Amino acid sequence: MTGRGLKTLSIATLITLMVGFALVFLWVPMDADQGFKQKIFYLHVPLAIVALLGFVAGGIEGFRHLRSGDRRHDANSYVFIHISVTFGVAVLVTGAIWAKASWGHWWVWDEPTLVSFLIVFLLYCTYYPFRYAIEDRDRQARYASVFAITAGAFVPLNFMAVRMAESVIHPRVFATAEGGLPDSMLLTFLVCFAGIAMLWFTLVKTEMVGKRVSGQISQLRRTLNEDAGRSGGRIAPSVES
Amino acid sequence: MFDATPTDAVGYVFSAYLFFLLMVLLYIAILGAKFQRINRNLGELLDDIKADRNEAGDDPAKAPVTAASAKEPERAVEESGV
Amino acid sequence: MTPSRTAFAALLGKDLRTELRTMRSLPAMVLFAVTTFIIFRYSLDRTTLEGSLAGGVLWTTLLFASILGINRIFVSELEEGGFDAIRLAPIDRTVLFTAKASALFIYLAVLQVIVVPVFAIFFLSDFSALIPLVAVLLTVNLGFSVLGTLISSMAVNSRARDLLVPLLLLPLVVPLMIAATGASAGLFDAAGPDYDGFGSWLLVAGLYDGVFLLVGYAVFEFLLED
Repeated sequence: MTGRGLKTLSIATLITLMVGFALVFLWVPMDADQGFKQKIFYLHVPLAIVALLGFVAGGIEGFRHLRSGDRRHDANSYVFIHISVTFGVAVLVTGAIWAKASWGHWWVWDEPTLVSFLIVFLLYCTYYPFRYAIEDRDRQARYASVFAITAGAFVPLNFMAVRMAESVIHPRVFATAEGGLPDSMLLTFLVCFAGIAMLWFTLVKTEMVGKRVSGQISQLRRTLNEDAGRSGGRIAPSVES
Repeated sequence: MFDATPTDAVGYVFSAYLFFLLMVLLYIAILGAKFQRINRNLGELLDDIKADRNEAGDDPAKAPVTAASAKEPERAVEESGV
Repeated sequence: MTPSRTAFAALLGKDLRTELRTMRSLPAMVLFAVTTFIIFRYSLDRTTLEGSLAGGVLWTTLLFASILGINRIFVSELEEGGFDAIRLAPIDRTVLFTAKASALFIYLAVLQVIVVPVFAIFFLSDFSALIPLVAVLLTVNLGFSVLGTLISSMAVNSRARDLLVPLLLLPLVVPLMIAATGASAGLFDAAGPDYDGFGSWLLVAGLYDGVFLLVGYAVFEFLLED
């Protein structure tokens, strides 16, 4: 993923999110069952879906990295996972706020999607200590790709298992966008989803740009040091073109 | 089943959106810090290049970076087209 | 190319011989499990367990005892240069994966053969749950072995080896544990084994095993490259 078109994308993201949030607070009708607090979902659900898709995309990039050896896929994988983990924090906090509003507790074990997400989030948090514990750059990239693939395969399994465990005891409390949503809510949801997805891409691109620039500077620094006989270096994944 | 009163609900919803906004701002702040670091590194790099060119000027025998190749890194940075 | 089966047998044999000769991790795992049972007896203030509580105590203990063993699986390999030997040998790399996973499967099975009867004697009033429990144990073992081998081989080359294995493995086995406890809760029912949902939980665990077997098989050779 390159930095091209970042400016246009950021502006588009901003506009979409503004329109989305305006729809949420000024236009869409109140939910009959849950009232005003239902509006959290227009933020919480898109964040969750985008984060999960991001994790899976990270796995796909990991796979492509192993296949081709092209380091750019590894950089993509790293950034996709990084941004998705950040979104994950927001998912868990907004989920906790919803739980508090609905059940009076900051956390509920009854909501399978939230619990599944927590487990996935914890797994991906281990990506960083894992990555930085391996010193050799090539090996680090390869192992990280293996991790990304394994974790990507894990996501659907995890949701399935937790879902099964909960449905035995409690009926689903959380009605999402699938089926039964009135058009106005669906439209609002889709706009918010588009905005959040674009935000994800914007942040990913931004991070890629930052990495590229840092990488180039390191490269220049190394060239200069070699010429002049100095030394230096670091471990983190970088993008050098 | 516990259910927040309407005014409480408004509070919760807004705190959720506010948290989201704060996270985005935090991210921007971190980007800003990263930017500063990059600028600093770039500055050091340019300083070192100038220093090397001056050295080469003083002592032609040990010119580590010739005038021509010293231009390369600068142009490369400008042309990185990021 | 040496036929995979002979290579497999050779590797497996070597692993089992090493473990039997040095008895490295098994005693620690068993001791850990038994001590944990004792702690549970006092912390839960119970002398008998049933239903989901029994399943919870058993599976938690088995999980953490197993992790003790998984940590060690590749240590001997790394220390004695086994990885290099295998890299040079003209065999299919994934044979190492299958051999290691099988060795781990056997270790865990031995652990369970010792620990589960102890658990039964300590906490169960009626042993009829044990026979169907074997099916659950075997399925979970497979999952542990596959993931344990995969994670362990990734962690062995890093600096924080002992920490990384639990760190990576624990979230990954959560669905498997959910399935295991779901399947066994009914078995430990006070009134006698209840098979409601047993089949579907086993299916979930089996699916989990299948997915990670495929993943492990596909990616393992990338872990061996230098």
